[in-house]
Amino acid sequence: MNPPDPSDAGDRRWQKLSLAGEAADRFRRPAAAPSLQVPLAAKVRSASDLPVSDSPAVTTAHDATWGQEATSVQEATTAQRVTTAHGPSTAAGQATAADAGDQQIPLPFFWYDPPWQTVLPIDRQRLAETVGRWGVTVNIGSGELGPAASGGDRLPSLPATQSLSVDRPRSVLADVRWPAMVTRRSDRLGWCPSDAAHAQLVELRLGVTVNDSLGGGYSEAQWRMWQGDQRRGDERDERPESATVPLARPGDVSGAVAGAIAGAGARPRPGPFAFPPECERLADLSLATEQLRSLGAAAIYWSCDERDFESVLPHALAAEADGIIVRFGRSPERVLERYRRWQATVPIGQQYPRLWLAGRLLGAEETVKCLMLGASAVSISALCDRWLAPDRPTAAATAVAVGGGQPPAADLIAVEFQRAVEGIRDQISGWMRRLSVESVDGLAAAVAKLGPLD
Amino acid sequence: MAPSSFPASDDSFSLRDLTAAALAKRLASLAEQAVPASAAESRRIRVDLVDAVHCFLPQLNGPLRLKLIGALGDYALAYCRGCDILIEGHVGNALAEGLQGGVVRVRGNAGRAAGLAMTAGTLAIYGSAAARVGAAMRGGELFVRGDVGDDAGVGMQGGMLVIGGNAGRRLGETGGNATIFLRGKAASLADGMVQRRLRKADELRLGMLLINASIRGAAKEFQRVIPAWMAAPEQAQRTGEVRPNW
Repeated sequence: MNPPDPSDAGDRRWQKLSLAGEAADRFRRPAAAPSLQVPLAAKVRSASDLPVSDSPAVTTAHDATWGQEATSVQEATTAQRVTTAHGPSTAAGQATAADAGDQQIPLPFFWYDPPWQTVLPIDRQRLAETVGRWGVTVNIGSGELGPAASGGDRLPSLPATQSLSVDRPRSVLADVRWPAMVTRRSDRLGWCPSDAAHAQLVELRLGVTVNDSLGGGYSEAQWRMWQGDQRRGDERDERPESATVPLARPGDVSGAVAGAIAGAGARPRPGPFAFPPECERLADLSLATEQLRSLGAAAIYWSCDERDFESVLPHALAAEADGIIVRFGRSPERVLERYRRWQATVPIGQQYPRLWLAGRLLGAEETVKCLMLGASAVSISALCDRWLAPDRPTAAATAVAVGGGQPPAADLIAVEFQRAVEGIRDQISGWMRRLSVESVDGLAAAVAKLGPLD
Repeated sequence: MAPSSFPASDDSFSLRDLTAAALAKRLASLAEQAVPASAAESRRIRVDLVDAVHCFLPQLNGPLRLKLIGALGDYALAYCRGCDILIEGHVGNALAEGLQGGVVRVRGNAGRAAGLAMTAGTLAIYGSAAARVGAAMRGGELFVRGDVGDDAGVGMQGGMLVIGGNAGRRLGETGGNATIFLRGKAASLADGMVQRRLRKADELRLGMLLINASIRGAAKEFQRVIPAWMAAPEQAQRTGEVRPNW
């Protein structure tokens, strides 16, 4: 958790470019460890976020390119512009909602859409707990953890007799002490309504997550996981795990996508919905958001693909969603650019959704840059998903060992995970100290003053 | 179980006097106090609705018999179970989403995606239903006495959808073990679906269910909508064919 060494080359460049006299002394002074907690509630745009239009930094702030080789220079340059335009202390300009009662997550990282079906329910629980205890928000719910682990109220797959029981359904998340995110897909697969009362965050998923082998469809293992494998023997279909479910109407967001029949005698599965079937257009999603709010106190985040981001954003604002998770393609640069440009148009005093980025694993410097450019959290799924790889039978045991504080030398992935998370965390802390900001949102607020990217 | 047989109420509420949230708390409290001996002994409650309230009474759970007078908005009665509910009015979209048990009856029309992702219980609509009725159903029985809109039964994985009138386009884009019965005509069937006459076993089963849901008409007036791959082996096993093992 140590900040970067102030004697490194980047720091010398920083001081040479931007700091002098008293300001430099302030930065050398040991500061209290900044908090990496991120609120989940929507941000509120404040007057202090307004960009300084007459600052020379604004006109030249966006000429840097998005690339690994240019990152350190760009970060130093960006930071210099912030300090020269507004002075080193920018904590007052933070764009957080600043509600003391709001929920927060310990770190701006989350594990998005893990392939839980590849491991047993008991391993899912252990891994989720291990990662969650590190402060990473984990995308899991009763649908994935299963009835054996939870005793919860996952929706049964078979018609049951009419129940007159007054037993209250209990969510598996009721006992967890780490940040959890549950997903409400349009087809409600894996969705357990009582999870909304215990999770920190509910994701209202729009679109279909696409994986390499199955396109936009679900694998047989996913079906078994969500259906609890409670089907009768004669109902089991014989479709192989590798069967593909192509998108019949790739551009269709209004209906379901038909599943393909894998072979003779196999029963087809319905494909996933790309859009909630009860809604006709994006404007209808405000009621869906309201419904999720009525189920619990969790923050409501919409999720969409990068290509739909711009069309979804105004509707998320109107629906008062707390945030948007964007599944980006190669780079989050365009998403951030659009978000910053749109952010500048939000009226003062109005709440607007936070931005979470899900996609490939971002390096430490890229992560810091994303946070500075307005993102509130980034996914580290690529790092964590390796623990769910089918060729790693000891992954769960290793995860438990790491979580228990034992030497992580038993597994290289565990070491890699620890190093990566700590590395990114230290980078963020270092930059927060340099900019004298006290929260992750403070990083974004400092850079937001530069105005939209043009 | 007929709509006209709803008995006199033990309690009566009106949304003029209290909010939907307060009513939900009262009903939850009543459900806790009730001793679930049988449906006939469950508590009878009348609620007068004022506006088409959205997200009305989610996760209602317990031996309650409710009569709701008036129109309801979207996402009404989501994830309910164990209740016997009669609605005297029209309802909005996603009625009884994720129904987990009990009976919901509507003397009126329903909006889009009625019975969405329901897993058990009975939903009976005595009017007509808009598009995507029974979408993503996993179990239970859904009856519509009138017509249904486009994409009825889309994404169904199980359960039974009975349509007393006509259907719109792309009827039956289902998978798994879904069953669809249609009395009228469909504007079009989904790809790979065919319409077939009822088997004797289906007639018997459907006849019982129609009586239970208070829907008039004989079961033999209905036809099944099934996947073509399922129809082919049935055709080969028709009665009257000489089988090798005879």
